[in-house]
Amino acid sequence: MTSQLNLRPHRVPRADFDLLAGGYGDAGTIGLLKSSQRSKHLLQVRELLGAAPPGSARELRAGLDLLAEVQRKWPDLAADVLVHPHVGAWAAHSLRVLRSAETGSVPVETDLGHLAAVAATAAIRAGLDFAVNIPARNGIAHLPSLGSVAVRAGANTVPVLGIDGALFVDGRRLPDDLEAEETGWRPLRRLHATSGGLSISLELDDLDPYRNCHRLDAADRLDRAAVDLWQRRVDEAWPLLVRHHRRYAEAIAAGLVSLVPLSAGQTTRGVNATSMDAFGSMLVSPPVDGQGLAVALVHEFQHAKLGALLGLIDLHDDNSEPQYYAPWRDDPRPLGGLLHGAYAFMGVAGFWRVQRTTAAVGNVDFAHFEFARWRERVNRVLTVIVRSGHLTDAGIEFVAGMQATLDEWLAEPVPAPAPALAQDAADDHSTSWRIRNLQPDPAQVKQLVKAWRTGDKPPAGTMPMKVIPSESRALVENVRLDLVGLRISAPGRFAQLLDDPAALADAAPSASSGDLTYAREQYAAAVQEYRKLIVAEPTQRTHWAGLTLALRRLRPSPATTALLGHPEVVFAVYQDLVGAGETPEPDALADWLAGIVPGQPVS
Amino acid sequence: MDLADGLESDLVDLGEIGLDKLGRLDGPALERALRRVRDDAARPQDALAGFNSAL
Repeated sequence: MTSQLNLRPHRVPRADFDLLAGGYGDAGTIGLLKSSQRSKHLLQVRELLGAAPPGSARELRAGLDLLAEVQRKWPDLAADVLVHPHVGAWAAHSLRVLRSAETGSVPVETDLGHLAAVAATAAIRAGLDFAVNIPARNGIAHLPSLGSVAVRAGANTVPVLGIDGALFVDGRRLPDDLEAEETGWRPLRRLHATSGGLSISLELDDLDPYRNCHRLDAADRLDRAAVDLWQRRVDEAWPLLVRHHRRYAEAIAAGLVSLVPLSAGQTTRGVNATSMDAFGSMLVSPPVDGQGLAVALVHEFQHAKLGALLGLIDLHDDNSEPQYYAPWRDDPRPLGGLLHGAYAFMGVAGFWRVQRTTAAVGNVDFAHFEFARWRERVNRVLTVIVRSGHLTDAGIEFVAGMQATLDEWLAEPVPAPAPALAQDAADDHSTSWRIRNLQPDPAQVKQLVKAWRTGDKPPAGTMPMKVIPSESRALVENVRLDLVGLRISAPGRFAQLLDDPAALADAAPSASSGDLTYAREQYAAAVQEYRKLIVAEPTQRTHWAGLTLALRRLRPSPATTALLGHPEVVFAVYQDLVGAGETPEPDALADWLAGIVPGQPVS
Repeated sequence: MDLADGLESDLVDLGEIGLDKLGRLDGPALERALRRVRDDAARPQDALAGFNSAL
């Protein structure tokens, strides 16, 4: 028998909407978002009940029955377990497997049975006497947010019993203190910090089978030294956030539950990720210091907040065409991704805005650079988003709120050299991105090549442009940016390196001769170096971007206008000529192409 | 658009629902909310990755 209850919709009060639009959101706002996530998880479970193949639903029902038993006596506890981010990750993954949108790595019964493990965790926390079967994989059974236990090899399910406070999994008694590691039992470790009366308690999740929802390489079990290092980073990051970024800290304390460490082998640089399936969980690579962790937490939690809001209301239509330039990625993005990036980097700009005025910060120039860099880029993107025509009414209001905050920040002075260096970094990325992802109309490129050979002016008119998405989805290394960072954050060391070319080359082994000359601010020589590099490696985008920056530093000219405005046209014509055995001077060709008008890129 | 009273979501609030009733819930509001869940389940999730916090 079905039950048509008068279900209330979730609401987003105006005050919370405004807080979120301005880039923030307090603990109350986060509570509202968490409540909506719990409803989403329950809807997913409801959908799983209907979608489960015959014979598999009982695995799901066993978990739901036990959760219902917990809920009857301890509703808050059941609610707390259900809102856990990795419950969302599990439910979303299981649904996608059932709908064939993703491939499962285990039998569907194992996925569906995971709700019993969630329920067992709730029953354990409630101190219930209970019995339930939970899934096992490769000799391991997992109790979400508690730990993993070794079980019989080959078992697909194992019994969990709670009797008078004693816990047994597959016949093995678990320690009374579930945070104590012992043979066969691996507890989930937690990171804690308190500062200024505000505490944070995070799971350092290297166990949950659904923690890899971020689609990167989540680390397996960390050793004690790695856990201690994470705790030290949290000890450094949390006071910084609480003291100087209280609004962000309060939201993070209210909503962040789980840090999933990225495999150390993946990268040593700061790559982090957030899944819209798992509000309150983020994947973070081992941070180099507390400040790096602090800004990563701010950035990723911005994604989480926006993702949860988008689960409640539509801010844009469902146009998913990857066609927009995002100054923080190497690939074209759909509008939703662009908005997400803008919101996240708005948090980053807000972080550095405060950091630069904080006496405790060692290097204020670096904070100025980062603030200048990200406020400009976000501002540029917001203009594109507004003009896209894809925002809903609520989306228009939301972006207006973002813009209002940003306008205040744009009015704030930033001392030299940060603005010029930030402009260089922006143009460096934009030039490479256009060459990488935009393809001019081949027929018109042929016409340009013909005109060049005959010494004519380029044909007039707008050149159609097509977006060709690249394979890479994230930022790639940019050694020129690394050198700028070194110049700003460690000026003494950078000056030493400039006096020692061999040491400079050692410090930046992937830097080209052009990059090193450019770093020394020898721009005429850098132009010469980049010209030679382009002749030797004509398809290397980074040489073209380097030439662009060096030429502009020497003197803005028609060539720099072309290379900044439509480098992909210069690049395409050059490649065609080189393919025919000709080697025009790159900047002479750019100068000739300055009058070209690129069309609006289309997918 | 007047947002003075805030925004109403298609997402229904299941916070007060007994879990033993979850499988038997029905009705147009629930169906609207489930539609979004189904849409999400029909496509792979793209994690939002790539922030480089270390220069």
